[in-house]
Amino acid sequence: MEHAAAAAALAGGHLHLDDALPAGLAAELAHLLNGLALPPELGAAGIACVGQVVVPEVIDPQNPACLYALIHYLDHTLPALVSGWLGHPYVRPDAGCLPVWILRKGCYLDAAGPQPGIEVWLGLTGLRWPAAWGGHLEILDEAGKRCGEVAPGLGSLELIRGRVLQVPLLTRQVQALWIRTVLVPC
Amino acid sequence: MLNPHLDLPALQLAWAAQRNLRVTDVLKAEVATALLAALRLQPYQLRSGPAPGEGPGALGFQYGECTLVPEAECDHVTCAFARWWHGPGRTWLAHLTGMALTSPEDARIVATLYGKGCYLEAHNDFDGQRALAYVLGLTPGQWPAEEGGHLEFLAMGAVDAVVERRPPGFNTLDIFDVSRIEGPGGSVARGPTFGPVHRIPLVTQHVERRAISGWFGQRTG
Repeated sequence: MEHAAAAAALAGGHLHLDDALPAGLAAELAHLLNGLALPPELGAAGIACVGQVVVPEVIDPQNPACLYALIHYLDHTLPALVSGWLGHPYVRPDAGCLPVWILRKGCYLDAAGPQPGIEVWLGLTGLRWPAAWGGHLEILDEAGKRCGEVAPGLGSLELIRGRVLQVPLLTRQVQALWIRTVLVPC
Repeated sequence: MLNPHLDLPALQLAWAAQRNLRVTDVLKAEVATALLAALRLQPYQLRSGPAPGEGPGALGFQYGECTLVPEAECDHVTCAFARWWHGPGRTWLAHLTGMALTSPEDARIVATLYGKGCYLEAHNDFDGQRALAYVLGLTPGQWPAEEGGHLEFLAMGAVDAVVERRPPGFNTLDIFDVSRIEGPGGSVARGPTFGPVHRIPLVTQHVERRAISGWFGQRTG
């Protein structure tokens, strides 16, 4: 993406990248991570199935290579891109970890934020469904007005800054998977 | 514990007609109120499970659950209620239904809590062991069916054909026979017009549907 366009989109609160990950890598990760047996948890913000995959720093050939590819993208490639766009260095505080968020029927996230830094939502969802079924990511301004909506994608990336986020109640038997993390200035 | 003004012969007639019944004001009012207050203090775990026959990842249910096993000498309201429910309460239900009901050995009761995001997909409770399903409603609030959380009975073979819908109730007891499987077209030996296939649609608002739910078994032979 062109430097100026990316910087402008981030300044506006939301940058969407369609193919942040190569399709083959995204499909491999989706296949792997959608198999995680994460139970739903009721938290202050809603209901979601949340887990964390910790990827060892030293490459172990017994672990799927796609996990290392994703960690490299999140911990190195993406911070470098964002730092270049914004002219300030950014890092990922939970480097080495993959926070996995699975949303199934009955899951939702009430409006929350804005969070400090840049929120990163990386979609690893093969299915598409209409927004009326719920489960899409909604981006709100601080007054609560909706200013964007994103269907979970496969290898697509949302970078969000200074925005309130919510996910309406998912009402059908479909499953969204996000890697959800944050970049902070250093 | 039982409301002394219940008309058992009338309830027996209503039960015989459908083998599926809602009893209102089943407990003494003060008992129901104390039970609700006690359950509000209990810790609930959000539980979910797979949906039989659905694709991978599809869930059959999601709701809060709290299992309470009564202690023999404890006078806490939930312990006292559980002992009564699996003793005199079950005997009264056996008279009402004409079924030789049995309880789990530990006399447990299971409290359920449906909030936003909770549901129970369509199913029949038949497993060859269960005989009578019960839902003791302890929900003080009311909301429209469009917001989910109502108990719906479905026509056999037509998943979205609701033949009866019961809103969450307070001090209500829903009982239905789950000792048989209804065949297509409602062809069952005892002849009700609808079977025990039921569901609780997804709750879409921040409400609280509270109940004590479970099954009694039945002695055979």
